Amino acid sequence: MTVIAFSDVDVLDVLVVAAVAVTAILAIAIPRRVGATIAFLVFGLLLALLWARVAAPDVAIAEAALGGGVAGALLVDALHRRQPAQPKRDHRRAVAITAVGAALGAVTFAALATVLSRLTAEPADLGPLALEAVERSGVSHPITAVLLNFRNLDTLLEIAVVVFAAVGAAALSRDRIRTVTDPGPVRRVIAVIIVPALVLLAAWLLVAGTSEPGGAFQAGAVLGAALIIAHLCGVRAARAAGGRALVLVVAGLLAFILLGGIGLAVTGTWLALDLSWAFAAILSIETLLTVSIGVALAMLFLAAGSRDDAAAADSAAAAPALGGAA
Amino acid sequence: MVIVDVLVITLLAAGVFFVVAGTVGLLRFPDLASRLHAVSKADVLGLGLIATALALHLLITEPGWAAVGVVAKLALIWILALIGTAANAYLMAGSRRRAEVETEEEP
Amino acid sequence: MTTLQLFMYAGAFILVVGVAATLLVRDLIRRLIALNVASGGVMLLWLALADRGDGEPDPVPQALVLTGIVVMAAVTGIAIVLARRVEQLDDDLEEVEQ
Repeated sequence: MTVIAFSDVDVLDVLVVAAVAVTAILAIAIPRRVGATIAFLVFGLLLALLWARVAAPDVAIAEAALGGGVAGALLVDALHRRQPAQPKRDHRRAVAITAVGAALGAVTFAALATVLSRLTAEPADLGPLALEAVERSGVSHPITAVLLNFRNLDTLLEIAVVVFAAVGAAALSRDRIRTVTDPGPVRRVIAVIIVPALVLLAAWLLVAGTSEPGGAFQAGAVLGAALIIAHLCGVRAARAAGGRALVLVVAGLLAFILLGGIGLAVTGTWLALDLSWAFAAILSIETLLTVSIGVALAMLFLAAGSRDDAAAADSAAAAPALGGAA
Repeated sequence: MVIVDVLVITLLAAGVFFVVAGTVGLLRFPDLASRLHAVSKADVLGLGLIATALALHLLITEPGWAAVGVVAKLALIWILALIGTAANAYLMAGSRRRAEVETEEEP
Repeated sequence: MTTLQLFMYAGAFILVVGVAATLLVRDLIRRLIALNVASGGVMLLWLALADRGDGEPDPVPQALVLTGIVVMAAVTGIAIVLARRVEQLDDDLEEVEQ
């Protein structure tokens, strides 16, 4: 058995990875939802830092915007309901279940580690092939080329998942979505300053994604945040609910399918892009995807946070408790 | 160049100090209002110092229009963080105050 | 231990911890958080493998991880709505029984 020496690794790398592992364990082990959510938010932030370290700036931006921003906001908004009390398990049973889980986890980890130890430190063949083909894709950024040209079937299916999630959330949120009646002077100023800045930032991320880190998903997350802030500040037009919002969400999916059909008609292969119009096609599809994802994320947030009157009374009672415990 | 390096490191260290101080305040202060006070002031100041240090380092090592663009983006980040933190603090304290007033009103 | 090995084993560890917690924890929101943690572990594993070698990182795993992040955000949204509905129905059931 080889001795594990840490001489080849940078101290900062070890620290960041250790912090990520510790926050991951905290996020799953803390019994109260509030603590687990906070640990998860820190985990997401450290993960974004780690992605920048691993030379994946696109993924870092997306993790910060979607993992920490949107998923974190959804989880924090879910805290307004009091955590239901779990029926007490017999103590011995609890210990036994944890022990079995730990044992199975250790076995799985050992198996995974054995597989991983066989991997070499040289990159696989697919990477250089993809990088070489980028100049024939219509854009100059490799990730956008892969997402919107080489593997755009994956992106099509991903946008389908987002559409289904948004439709499902809209169908299940029986309660009316809370409307903000009197936003107050501070919120009105926020709406005027922040929302246009965020929309502009989303547009910039979208266009810059063709040659630098950026792209439709990051821009969609920022646009979703802009819509949520606009709704919470009382902007009536930003109510991402109902038929009109669903139309915008589904439009992205339908446009993508249409693009696939055009590719089939022109080049004979479903979803293939001809180099002469690839850039225009990619940019227009990305624009529609940005709008779709933004509206879908706003719909998910508003549907997940909608309250009826009983829950509103709960949250008013829970707020002082949360403030004291936090 | 060494003077600029020392300045950059000093600004970074000061920024980190203020952020840590804000976090210590968040953990140690007794109630919501004082915690918001600590975090919203110290964290934003620390962020501003770190952003200044990065901007300075970039302008010295790679001067040019690209660097000016990055400095402008750093300034934008700081301004957005400032507005967001201030608005957040106001809204959190306001909603807490309203909840307190409601519980006081039901004798 | 190289940097690649550190990231790979850490990713595998976080994945196993997250999946174990998803199966064993009973509270719905905490299970959702554990699922997100597990997906973070998978992403660390893949991105570490994408950054092997000296040249530019491999864009295909990075694109797939980006897709995964978007899908996890959407799934978290729908899962929270479902969890809220389940708990609401449980509350209604308890009220009816009492």
